[in-house]
Amino acid sequence: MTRRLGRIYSKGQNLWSSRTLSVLALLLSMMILTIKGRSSLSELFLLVSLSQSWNLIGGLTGYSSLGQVAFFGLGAYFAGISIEYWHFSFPLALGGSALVAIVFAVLVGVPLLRLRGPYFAIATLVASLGTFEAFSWISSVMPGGDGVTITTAGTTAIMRYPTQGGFALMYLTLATVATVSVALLVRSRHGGGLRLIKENEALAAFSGINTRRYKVVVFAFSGVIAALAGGVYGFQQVTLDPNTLFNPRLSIAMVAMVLIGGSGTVFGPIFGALVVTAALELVANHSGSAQDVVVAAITVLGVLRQAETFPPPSGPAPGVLGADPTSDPQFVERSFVVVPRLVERIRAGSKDG
Amino acid sequence: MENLLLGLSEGAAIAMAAVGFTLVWKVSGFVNLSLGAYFVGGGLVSWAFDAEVGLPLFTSVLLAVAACTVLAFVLQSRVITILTQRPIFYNIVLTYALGLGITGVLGMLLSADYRSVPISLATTYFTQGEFNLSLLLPISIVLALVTTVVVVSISERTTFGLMARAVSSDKTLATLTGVNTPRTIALIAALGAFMAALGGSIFAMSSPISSGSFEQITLYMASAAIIGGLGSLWRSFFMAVGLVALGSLLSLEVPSGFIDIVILLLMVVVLARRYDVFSPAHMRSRR
Repeated sequence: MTRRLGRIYSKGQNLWSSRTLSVLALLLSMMILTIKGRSSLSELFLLVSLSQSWNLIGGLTGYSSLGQVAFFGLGAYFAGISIEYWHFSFPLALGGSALVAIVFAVLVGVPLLRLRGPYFAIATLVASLGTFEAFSWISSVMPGGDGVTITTAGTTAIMRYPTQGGFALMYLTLATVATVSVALLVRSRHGGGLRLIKENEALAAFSGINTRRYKVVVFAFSGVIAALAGGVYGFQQVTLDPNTLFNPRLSIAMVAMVLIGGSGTVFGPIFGALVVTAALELVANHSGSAQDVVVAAITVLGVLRQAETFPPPSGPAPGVLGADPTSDPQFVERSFVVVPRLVERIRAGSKDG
Repeated sequence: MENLLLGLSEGAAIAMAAVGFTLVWKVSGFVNLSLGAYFVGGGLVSWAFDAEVGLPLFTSVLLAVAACTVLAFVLQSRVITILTQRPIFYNIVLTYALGLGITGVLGMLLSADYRSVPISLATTYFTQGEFNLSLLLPISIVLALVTTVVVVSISERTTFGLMARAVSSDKTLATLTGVNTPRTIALIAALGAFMAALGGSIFAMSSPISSGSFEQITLYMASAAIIGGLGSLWRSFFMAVGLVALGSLLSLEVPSGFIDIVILLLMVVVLARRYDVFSPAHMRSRR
């Protein structure tokens, strides 16, 4: 029985690694979105922006954040409060959201970006839960005790409420800016520095990169994208609910989209967002539990795909036998090909500059 | 006083999950956040067998705990094990997603409403003047304590415990000395799920639980294990009891959100201290 299961499992793995499944998923997703129409396009572009936001810090830099949703919620709340109570125009409110994201990224990023791996992930999750608790309390003490509701009609409305197509266009602009930024960053000297930090942070510091500045800047930039997306989403939703805007499941969805599409790549997060949007559209009329199951399934597939992409080091596990890292082909390639190439590129860039 | 006892009872139930979490972490090195879902599963499935199917309470709890234990064994040996030697971040995300999936399925099958296992003991009171105490509270504390003593004894005094400790100290050497490492890790995951599910069943007898409780339970479970020092089963147990009881006591004075923030901050401080983030040597090396 176990052998049979093993055979089925390995067949499944071959099918997955042959990319057939990826192409099928892409085609199916596009078909579903075509049937569902414009409302799902808004969601798609929103998710592309968010997945690119996570891709910047988690995919390119290797600092896997589980608290990216904090920026999304902060952006939404700042936009909502500034429009409703301070009568900011919508673009000005969005600018304010971006500024708040930068301040938050610096305040949180400077201490937390000293942590790595699971410690960073847990600490960012804690930071996002902290902001959720703070905004839940703020919502309860707002006038009326029922949180923030943006006035979108009547004489007191700050601007005409955009149509569904208008919001889709806003999200498309944001998704395009995020994707182009990632594409430019990947090719730039700064991007090389980030990849070197991901590969070997000590070596990055040794080759003259101000690692702390690089990390904080990219953390703030990824936060700005998420905050802008939050600002538009908050305005679209009209009523701001901390349970939705700071939901940690959204952070997991961001990770899932990037992992299923390809971490650290330009188009991977778009593919991931396409798959997640299509899958969520399929269960749109079902309960929140069904949506949780969909996000969970995609996350599990994404993680397993990532595990397949980066196999563990060959040979015995590091332990009392003292595994020789040079016997791992991936270690050899990274040490003698990838890292020197990145260092060379950064040095060449600094000479040009 | 009643609030404190309710907190102690809930804390003892969550402490069982925290002990399971620490045990799995200590032996396998996996951060298994899905244990929070087995806790919820233990409570909800016990309720379903008892209230919906009509089975006796003991049978309902037994079936719920057995189902969670078997599921944990299968998921560990078939899915989570694929992440051996991969970055621990993937392990965190995968187990969180598995937990989300399990509670999502429970929400679809049993609805996302709050449920509690009906038990006559909950309405049997010990009365002394103005003091009213449900007999269920001390009984659930004792039950949680006894189960934890048994599991700690298994992990310390049996041959299986010896194998688990061998795996915990060095997986390669344990394999070379004939220990079936993946099987041992899967059994430890099952034992962790058993603790969590039984804790959930006990919890659901005194307090309502829903599929949406997953994150809250996971937060308390992981916080207790981390603040308790990452490795000591008894410290995790008492830390969970203390945190939940204190939270229950303070909830009369301050919003529960603030208590969660304090617990979260405490967890970050413990993590930062463990990682030695703010030591002068660490900061010099970073520069």
